[in-house]
Amino acid sequence: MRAEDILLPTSAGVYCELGGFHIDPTRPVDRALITHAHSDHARAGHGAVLATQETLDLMRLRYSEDFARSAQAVDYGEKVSLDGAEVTFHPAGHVLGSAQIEIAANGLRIVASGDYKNVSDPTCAAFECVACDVFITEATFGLPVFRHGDPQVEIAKLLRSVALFPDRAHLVGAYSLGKAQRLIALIRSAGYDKPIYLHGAMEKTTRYYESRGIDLGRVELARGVNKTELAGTITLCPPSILREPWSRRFPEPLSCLASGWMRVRARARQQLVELPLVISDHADWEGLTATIARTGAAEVWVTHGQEDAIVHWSVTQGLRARPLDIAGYGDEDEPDSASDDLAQVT
Amino acid sequence: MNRFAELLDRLAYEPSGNNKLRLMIDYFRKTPDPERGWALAALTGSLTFQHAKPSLIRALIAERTDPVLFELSHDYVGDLSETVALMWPAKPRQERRPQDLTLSSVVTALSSLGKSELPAQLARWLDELDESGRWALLKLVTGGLRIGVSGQLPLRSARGIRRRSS
Repeated sequence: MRAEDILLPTSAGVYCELGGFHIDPTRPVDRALITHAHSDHARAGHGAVLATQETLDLMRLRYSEDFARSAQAVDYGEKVSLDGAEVTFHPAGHVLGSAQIEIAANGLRIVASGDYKNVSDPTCAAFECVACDVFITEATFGLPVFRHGDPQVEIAKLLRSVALFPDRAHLVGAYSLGKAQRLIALIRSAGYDKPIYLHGAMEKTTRYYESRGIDLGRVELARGVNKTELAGTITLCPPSILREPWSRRFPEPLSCLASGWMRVRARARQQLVELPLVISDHADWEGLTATIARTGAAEVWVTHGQEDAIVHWSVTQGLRARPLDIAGYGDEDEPDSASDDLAQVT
Repeated sequence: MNRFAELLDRLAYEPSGNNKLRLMIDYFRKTPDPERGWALAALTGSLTFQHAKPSLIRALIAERTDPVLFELSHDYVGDLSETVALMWPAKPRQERRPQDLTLSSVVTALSSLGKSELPAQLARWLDELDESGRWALLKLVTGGLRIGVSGQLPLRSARGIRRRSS
């Protein structure tokens, strides 16, 4: 039996005919398994949805109670039988509630990893490597120029800048779900204990993280705070907001952006960023290639990002590899993909 | 070298002249001689040594990386020095000694190095530095330090530290 008989790549995402479900479908389907709550993977309007409790909660927060006809929560490691297939969710280390989905059928094991990172993150469960025959990987940062390094080094850079420019407000662009909360936790672990301010679009998700027991210290809305009081402070906002009139309420705003893309200077300059911070919630080149090797998979499917380089590398390692060409998986690190942030403002 | 690299990075992204001045004053204050003297010379473009050609940089990276991955990366990043700085196969952090490598030692070595010794020396330095440090080094040796600072600004910042410390 071929892997394609169990999981069929379609333009709307991968489809399992035996189990009658799609994974992270990009259009409404009857039964969807969702890896994580970022809007390009978790869309509203499906029939039945199976996901972790956190992913379901976050989808409810972002869409509404009736984001799907029915929803079922699954724990990490819990086996669920769906007709002819058995599925298990494993931590992906990407954001709170994120999961890789393992599908076992007819003696073959496939892991759809969604988005993942294999480095520590105090705001979500750590990535767990699952042995499999076919590994489906993202490739957002699938070029050897992307090495994210130690995030605390970047946080130290930010804090040095805050000390050097006490009359300016540091605005840090960060994706609302996951990146923002991880940044706050990193800033706290560097010893910074002053209030951290938020753009309104991040409030709901940040409060949700806190309600799940993640301590973020004093986090307040920037709305209503006096302009002069914001000098020397740190405020987090969606990346797309950095260039909006909103930033004028801050004294001499210094625009920072926390993203894996900031490794490349042209990308930072395009966004008019003054302080790029290389911090990402995706695996970097070493993370992607090391993970592929560790799964022991003989075959690699690449969903989105820099497919060419990952496919090429896999082939040089003696693996079978193919790009999946699924349209619609964006990149939440991309400052222009603001759909999530806007959904929250309204 | 890494602190100088961080300064170059900040200067390259900072649009305001006043803020550039502040970044340089901060650097000159915290950096001892002769390091800050060489930094001032580098920023004002008054260093002279034999520059490395792009073909040398290309040859160094070709010995160390897969050609297909290099081409894909170069296409994506655009700039040759930056591509090499980012994809140079670095030693693990704990084996590097980046603190030991100063701008002074690099400049001094460059002015006395024979042409045939340059490739091996450059590779040793690249092994010791991180992404930012490698980028600054490659920009320096290829003579391409373009950071939007006019000759007068670094001199003003150097005067600025004298005034403030007196």
